[in-house]
Amino acid sequence: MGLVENILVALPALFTVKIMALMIVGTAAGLLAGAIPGFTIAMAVVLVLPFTFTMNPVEGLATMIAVYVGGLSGGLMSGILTGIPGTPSSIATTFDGYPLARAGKPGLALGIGVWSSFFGGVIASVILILVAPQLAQIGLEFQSVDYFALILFALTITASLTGDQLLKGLISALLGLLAATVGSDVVFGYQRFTFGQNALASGFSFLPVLIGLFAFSRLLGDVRDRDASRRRLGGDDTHIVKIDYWASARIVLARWVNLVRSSLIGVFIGILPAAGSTISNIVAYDQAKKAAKEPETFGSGAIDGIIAPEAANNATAGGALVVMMALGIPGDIITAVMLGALLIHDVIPSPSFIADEPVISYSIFIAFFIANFMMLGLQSITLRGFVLITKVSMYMVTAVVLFYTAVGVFALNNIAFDMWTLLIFGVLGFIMRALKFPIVPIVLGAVLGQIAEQRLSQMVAKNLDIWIIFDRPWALFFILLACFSILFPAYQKQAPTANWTKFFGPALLMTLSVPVYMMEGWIRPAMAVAMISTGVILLGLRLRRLLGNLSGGAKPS
Amino acid sequence: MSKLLVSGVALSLAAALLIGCADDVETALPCETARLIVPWSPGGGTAVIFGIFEQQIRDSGAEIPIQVVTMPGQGGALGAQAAHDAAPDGCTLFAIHQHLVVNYINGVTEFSWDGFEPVAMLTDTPEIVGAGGHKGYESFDDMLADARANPGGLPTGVSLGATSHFFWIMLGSLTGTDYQYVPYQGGTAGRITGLLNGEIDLGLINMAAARTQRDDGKLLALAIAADERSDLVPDVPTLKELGVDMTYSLTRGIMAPLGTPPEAIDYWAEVFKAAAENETFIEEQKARGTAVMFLGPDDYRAWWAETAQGFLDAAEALKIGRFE
Repeated sequence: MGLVENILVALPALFTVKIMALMIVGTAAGLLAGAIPGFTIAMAVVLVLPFTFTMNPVEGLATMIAVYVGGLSGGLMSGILTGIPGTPSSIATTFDGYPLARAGKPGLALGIGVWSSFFGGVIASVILILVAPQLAQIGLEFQSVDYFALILFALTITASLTGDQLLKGLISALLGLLAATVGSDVVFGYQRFTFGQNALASGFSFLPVLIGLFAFSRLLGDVRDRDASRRRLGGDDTHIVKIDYWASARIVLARWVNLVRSSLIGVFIGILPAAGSTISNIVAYDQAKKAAKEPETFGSGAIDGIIAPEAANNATAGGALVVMMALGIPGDIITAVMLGALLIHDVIPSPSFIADEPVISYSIFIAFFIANFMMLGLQSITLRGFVLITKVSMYMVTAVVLFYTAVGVFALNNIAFDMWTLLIFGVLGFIMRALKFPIVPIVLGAVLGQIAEQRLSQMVAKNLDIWIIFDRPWALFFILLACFSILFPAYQKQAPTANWTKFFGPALLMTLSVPVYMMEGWIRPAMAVAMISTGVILLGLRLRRLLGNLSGGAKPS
Repeated sequence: MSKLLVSGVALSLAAALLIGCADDVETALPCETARLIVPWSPGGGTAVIFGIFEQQIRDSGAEIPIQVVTMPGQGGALGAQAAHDAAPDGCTLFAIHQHLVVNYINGVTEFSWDGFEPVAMLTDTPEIVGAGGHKGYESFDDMLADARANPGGLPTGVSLGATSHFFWIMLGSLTGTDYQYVPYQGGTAGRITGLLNGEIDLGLINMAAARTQRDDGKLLALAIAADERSDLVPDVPTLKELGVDMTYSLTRGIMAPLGTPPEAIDYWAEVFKAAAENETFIEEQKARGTAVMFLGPDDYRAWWAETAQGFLDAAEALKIGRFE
């Protein structure tokens, strides 16, 4: 079989002492970069790029992949221990990782994070090695209207992330969307809401907004008075953080459904150009919460809430790699830089790339696989050092972290105003927290607003009307999913008592089978038939039980 | 104010001259590293090319290495403004192509190419006219016939207000056609996706796509806007062969803030000339459809004057941007 041959030719090219050494250094650099808030993986990969000019393509890409994987996992250290997402891809990790760490279990939280990252990456690389060429084609099926529908769906996540605070959540999401409109519009460059300020003309950069809202506001809250600021990050009882690797691995593996689901979500979002791990970690978290038996524990240290985002963000990297190689389309800035590195060596991605260049493409897949093992090994060393941060007083952590974030934010685009953005959104986040507004929706709004606008403007430019969603299966799929997503919190609340909730699952399956049936080929229509049959059977079973209960209840006891 | 500025420039010029007389030009630059502002994102075409220059200049043991500083935002205007406002001491350089004039025409910036001192022209990448395979065009003329039959009806992917948009306006005025512009601000990669999945019918594509994505018929390369056909895609005719008297390429080069002392400009022109003569670099760029074309400060200035005039005339004739 071609697959085995491809792997066999790639192995000797990859397993050289030089490449292994480069990859270990790359993973370590990525871990470090990911752990420093405000220092994104993208920056780390950009910094590595010049070194790869003198290497051959396999060496260069293996190094970059190591940095990428290291960075994705490094983000979880700062996310869990300080509550500050080291990179945008670990936003959701902080929701439960930080509370669990604060509740006196930082070792458990870290162990689960590391293992989830690892398994997410491994699952994704196995998928890549098996079905990369087929997977790449899905990315091509997405036109502007399909993207717009996907983003609408992502915005509905607000509803399930805010819980009881729906009104405040909506206000917060709208504030985020409003912030995304400031600056030049994405199409014509007309300036909006700049009030004549030149610095606002390019809008608020996303990273300072994110760090301001998440990190700065939290740090401000932590040093509000003298006592609070002298407290130690990990609480005053100086417990020694021990990471029980075997126990946490068992916990993660026991929740394999969540692990696999989150990894699949990650790969899928990765193959959509320009979506990326910023979105996938939140979507996976949301899905984990919806599937959970005790969704109310989410936000206060649920283990599934750590597994989902960490598995998803590592898996996304795999999806993005496929699209980069097969279509020459970078999914995010990191794969864009890797594409640049490929082009420098005159290696040009194309749909037949994986078949034409098996050594390079399979080396990339296998490098991605191995990098996850290196990450696991290095994490066990670096974590020991990193947990020491929990013994430092809050005011010191605050000062140092703020310094690094300000430097990192500036270094990203070399724009001094970005540091003011950090301050403005930090204060805004502090006020919102004090008034008990949820922070996540505003971040979602700020991130997704611009992508949504861009896609909408493409639809408008083509004079498409809104009914196009009934012609495009993916668009319809996500619109329907969004409708169910909005109803979901009500379903979850009333699930044990109300009768209508019994039909939620079958209805979801049957409705979604319509767009799936509309898709090309024979596999997906066949899947649609399976979905609708399952839906009908479930419906029948539940109706029977319900009727049985009703008639049973009607009998005098 | 402007008087002050002029005398300030004169003073700094005089100072630079004095120091220049007293010492080597290299040491006259008041910095250990010069920054090269690229007004687009890292990973983009310009950032990658100048990243290679950065590395070569470092490797050549230059006394003052350069550091690429990417400043994306406002369609390239943010970085242009920063470079324009920088101190003219030879420590700030600016990597740019025709976009500078297009930004001026659109009124995004108040200065054109003459807001800078030309240092050196380095590379030239001709544009390739692409179409989606779903259109089934056999030739460029098929496309023109379709465009004439559907004025303003063929969805065409462009970065609105950028060079990729201006191309179609100029082509339209030469051939009497009009197109429906769909914003693809992300650059060439996004446009190629759009062509492949049938979202848009037309768009400029790059050499990499023209070389590798045409086999299965999902992507068409109709014409190349150069003087001669390219060895890499010999089957793609030039616009001139097809009876459209037009060439259009992205010509990348280095500029310096207005008032930068001539010694500094000559110094950097020499440094970049040496880097551009590197054989491997020339070969690598050739494979990507980019010709390495060095022009010194004076020739580069003459090139800018001519090119910019062409753009301005076209904009004035079409009454677009600031001529509306």
